[in-house]
Amino acid sequence: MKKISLMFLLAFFAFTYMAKAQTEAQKVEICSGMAGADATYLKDFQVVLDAAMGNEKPPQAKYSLILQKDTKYRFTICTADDSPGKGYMQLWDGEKIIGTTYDPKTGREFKGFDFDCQKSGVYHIFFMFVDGKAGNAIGILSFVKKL
Amino acid sequence: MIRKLACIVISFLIIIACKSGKSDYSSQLGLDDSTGTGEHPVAQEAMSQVVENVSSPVEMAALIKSIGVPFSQKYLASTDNSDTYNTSHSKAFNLGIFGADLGYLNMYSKTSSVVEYITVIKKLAEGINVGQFFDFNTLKRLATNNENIDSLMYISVHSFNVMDKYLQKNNRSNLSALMVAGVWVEGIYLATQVQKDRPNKKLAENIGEQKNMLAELLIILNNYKKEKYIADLIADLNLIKAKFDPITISIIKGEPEQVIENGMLTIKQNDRSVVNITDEQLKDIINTTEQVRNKLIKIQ
Repeated sequence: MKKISLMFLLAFFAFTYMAKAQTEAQKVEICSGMAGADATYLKDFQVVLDAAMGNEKPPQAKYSLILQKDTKYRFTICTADDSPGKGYMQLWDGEKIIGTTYDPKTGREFKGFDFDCQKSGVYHIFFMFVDGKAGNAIGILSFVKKL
Repeated sequence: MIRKLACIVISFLIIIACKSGKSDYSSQLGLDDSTGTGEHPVAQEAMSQVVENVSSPVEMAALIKSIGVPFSQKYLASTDNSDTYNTSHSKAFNLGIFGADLGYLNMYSKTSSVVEYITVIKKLAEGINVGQFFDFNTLKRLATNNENIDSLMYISVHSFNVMDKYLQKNNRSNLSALMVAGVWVEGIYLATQVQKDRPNKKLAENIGEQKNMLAELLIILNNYKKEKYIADLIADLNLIKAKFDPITISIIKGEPEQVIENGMLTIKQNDRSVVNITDEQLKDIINTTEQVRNKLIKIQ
């Protein structure tokens, strides 16, 4: 009986661990699916940020990407159900903002945007959460088509 | 006795479960870094500062397909030599080579050949202890039944991304860099071979733009230049770089525009890069790339 209990416990912990790892993969797959049938998944960015403390600048996550000329890309963001803050992403070309899924000035939101790239090079994407709240989100970069 | 044993096992499992929250899979999988070459704390930091996707197995294949070039098996690396890749470095590099080939096969829905390539990829991935992240069974089922090409593409690319992330997080970013290098080398090889057979202005321009990608790749690889395999690879890639050096890329400036297309916010970039590449320069790149790539995938 004790042996059976021990085996049950072992199985329980193993399952819990596997389930956690699987959930991350499933979240990426679901978010990738949100990009649409015409989009081919290229890369995912799993972002977890703490809340901003006091008057400090809201935390952000930055990634650098190479995007290729004559290519339509799609950027999609999915905020986790249990995330306190709503995630958004911005695409930058050097010092110039190219696009965003949320405009704090107008409050306009998009689940993502397409980018018709005409210049191969290094671009940067930033992830943040509205009002500097803590949050958990996944960003997806997809390939749509050659232009 | 059993109670004591249970306490020890449960404590151990709790520690592992807590660590998993930081995505450190190595301990639960019982992996060691014996197939890597030790820790790379400085290089690890540098890796996090550089670009995420120097090379993609999807985009070059998509470009080749988009210009109407039919599929050709002759461009692909032979799987015959796969048993001879017996160091972690050569396994990682050739994992990238076959990953790019898999992208090309998937792009053309050549599912009959996919099984051969995923079998080799699985073996190489297992050779550097990342085989558990390559979903071989699902890929094989999708390819064998010729079903859901989108899923085949998704799982292929995602598996490579997960392997790459795992290597970086576990102080084996040297192998991650080699995988990325393999994808790039095979991608430029595919493009230049197609260009040789069926010259195309758009493809020529894209080949020219690889000058910038190669520069980024060399930045990554230089972090590990103390390792002989990587130093040799850098020397080989510098042969290609020398052919890219005379090419100039200029930028015509413009402001981006936002439009709504099919209900989707679309940003149209009005900057435009112009690649200045002559036929002679292109020929040099094609020939050197062919020599370097064929040397690199030979028995090592």
